[in-house]
Amino acid sequence: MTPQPGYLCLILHAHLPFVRHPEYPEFLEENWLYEAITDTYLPLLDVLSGLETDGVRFRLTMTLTPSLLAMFDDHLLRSRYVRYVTQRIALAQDEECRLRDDPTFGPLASFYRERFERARDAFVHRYRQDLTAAFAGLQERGGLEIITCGATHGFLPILSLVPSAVRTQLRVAVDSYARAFGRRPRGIWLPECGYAPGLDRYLHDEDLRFFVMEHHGLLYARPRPRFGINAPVYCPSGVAAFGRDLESSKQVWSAKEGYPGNPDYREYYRDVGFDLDLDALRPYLLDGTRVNTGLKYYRITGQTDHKEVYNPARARERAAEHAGNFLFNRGHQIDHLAGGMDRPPLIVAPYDAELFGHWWFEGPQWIDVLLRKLHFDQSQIEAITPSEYLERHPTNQVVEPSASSWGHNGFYEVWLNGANDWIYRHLHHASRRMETLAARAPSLSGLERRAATQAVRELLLAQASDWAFIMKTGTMVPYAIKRTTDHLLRFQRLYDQILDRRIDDGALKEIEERDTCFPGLDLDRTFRPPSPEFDSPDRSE
Amino acid sequence: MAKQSRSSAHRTRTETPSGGRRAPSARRGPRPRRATPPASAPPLEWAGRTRPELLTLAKRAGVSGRHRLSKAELIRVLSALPQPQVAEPAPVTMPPPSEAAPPQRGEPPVEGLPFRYGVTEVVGLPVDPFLVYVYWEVTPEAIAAVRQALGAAWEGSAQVLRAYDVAWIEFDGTNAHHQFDVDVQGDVGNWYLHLWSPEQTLLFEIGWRSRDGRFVAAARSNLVCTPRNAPGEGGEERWMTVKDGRIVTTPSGAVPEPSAARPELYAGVRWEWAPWSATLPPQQGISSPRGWR
Repeated sequence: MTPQPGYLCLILHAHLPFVRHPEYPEFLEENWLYEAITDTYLPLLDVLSGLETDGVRFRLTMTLTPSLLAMFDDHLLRSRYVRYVTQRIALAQDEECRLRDDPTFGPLASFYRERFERARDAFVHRYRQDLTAAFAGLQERGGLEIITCGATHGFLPILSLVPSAVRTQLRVAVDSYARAFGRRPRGIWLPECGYAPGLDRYLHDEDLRFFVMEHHGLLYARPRPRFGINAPVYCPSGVAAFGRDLESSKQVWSAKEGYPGNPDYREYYRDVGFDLDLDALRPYLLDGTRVNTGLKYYRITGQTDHKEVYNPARARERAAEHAGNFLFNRGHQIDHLAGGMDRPPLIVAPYDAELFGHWWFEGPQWIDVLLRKLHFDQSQIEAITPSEYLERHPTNQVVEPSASSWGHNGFYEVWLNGANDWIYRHLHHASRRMETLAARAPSLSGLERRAATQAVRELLLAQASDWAFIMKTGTMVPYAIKRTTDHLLRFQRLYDQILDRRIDDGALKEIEERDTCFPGLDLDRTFRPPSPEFDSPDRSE
Repeated sequence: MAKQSRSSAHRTRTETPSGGRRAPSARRGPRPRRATPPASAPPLEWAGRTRPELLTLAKRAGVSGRHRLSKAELIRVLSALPQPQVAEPAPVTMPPPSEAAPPQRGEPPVEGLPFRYGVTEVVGLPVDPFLVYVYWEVTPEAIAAVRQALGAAWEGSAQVLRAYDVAWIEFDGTNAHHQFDVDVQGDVGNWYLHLWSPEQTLLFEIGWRSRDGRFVAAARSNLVCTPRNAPGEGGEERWMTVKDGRIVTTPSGAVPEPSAARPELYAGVRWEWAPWSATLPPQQGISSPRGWR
């Protein structure tokens, strides 16, 4: 049988919450960014620019969330990253020294030293500390399509009780994207794929033309979509919804069937930060607390605690083999789906970007080989971005997708449960209070305007879905609670001060210097009071 | 001055019990089958339920080995359970009765955040097809108004959260398809409400019910639509063309060729979450960007 043509839409969702603590010389949670830069963002940039150099035509879609872009652009975090990676180089050098006579582990220490040195070199010299510009260049040259996300990754279905909160998440996102990339975003990754019927209208109002959703949001749509998740649909507003493919997701995510659990791949959970003598590590630790250092000498090996030494060359071969297997399976999937469709079936394969490199160390190599194979080795499957698909196939079925998310069990329970439900009454009230302030925006000037603008930042930061997620998953919970309450309290103080017309200039300056995200935030575009002709009839106000 | 303007900003949120609310017009089509009984009646019509629904209820009730049971067996097991285990809502984070009281189980520290906002409101948020989270606040003034309305019947009255099934109707306060009450306590509180079937359209009122059954509400909620948990009906197909973000042809019944239905695209499809995390031991202090989904 002749292979049937089909499309593969590979999407990487890169997001981290805005974490920046200038009030401390070092801060543990800032390492999330530094680890992701070292493990994921720089290796991905390396892979994609390598493809360009080699003349490989690739099509990849990526979300770079506004909070991540805000951190990419922050000078303090940039300089701290350089300090972080320099420390890692020093640690790897110590390890090289310690293991210089060890033929097994010695080369691995050198492997990491070289890796960290390359990361520092790329960050400082090649990209001049500006990762936003690096990704923007890839988009301008055509291989990458960057989409946006909620400003601080707020979980929109729950925030939508106060519609202006959703509008603000979207508007600040669109503005942030325009600042970073010099044009408007065409599509959006809904934070946590959180969708509720009607959200599409808010996207439509911001000229966002497509979003990605969990597969059952489409399969449970009304009426039932003819092509399931293998073609996008239009919501009633004309915004397109792309459904996540389950089979390809599983192959990359799942422990049993997924690639990252292969015995040859690097074991994430054996890090010298936990294995090494505390005294040897002390110069590299904050307050003597053990942390992941990124130096990991073992491979997954098997289900038990027994781990064998990591062999980078062997793991690389495995990644190449898995890329071929992924493509082979997509080919079969497309052959199976193609009959009876009026167009080539589409497979949408979205993943957290940080899976690649950070958790699945060999992930960027897998992407590298996959994109090369797509280009050189076959003609059945065409890589495509959502925008390109819609240009080619502008006629699609109209349905009302169903409420859904990509969290556990597929609805909202990860972000709304006994561990985090207490935040929502505060978030909803704060949004309404912000509407009160925004209604006065035209009459605010100088200090008051600055205070109201900062109040928006504080509220946006409190809305990040990451805090509710962390409260639910149970690690780093105190930090998530502190971030939620800190931002809500800062918001509340600013609100009181504006209403009382007594702004504490010193305190305002302090939090402006601390929570610096969205420097160009336009107060007049946020928390506008509802417009009755648009906002849903079930509003409580 | 400031305090006045703040409270007036929220006064509009207090709803009169008689105020009607339209059900959303966006949901068209036949009304889904539902079996929402009043709380006072024997609650469950087991036979009218699908096996997945029964399995969900059995999961909630902690029935082990439930996946091996047939529908009839599930009904037998569920019927034998004391009803509250499956039918009654479970309080999860009841607030302390006063600001001075210490936080209760599951209540994280919210030091400094307002406990009361001085607003009478009840808010419902869907969690999944069978679960709704409701929170409320009732001001002393609103309680006084309820008390006045009930008069002598206030003595012995019970605070209740009343749920109305208002799918496809213009609700006038009296014409709900079903309604049921849950006994709750507290001028500030929250509740998880377990439902019997998915895709409900609900309104909630927080109020007081006298011994002789009179109910006076202090506030009415937003409209809550719970999600579907199965593929929707086929229905009429409409197709649309959009170019550069503009709808260039209006939705029509035109169906592209070939027009054969594709039931196999749905065969065997059911929501399944592949928890990679289940195999990865949680490690305290690990710094991960997102946790492992």
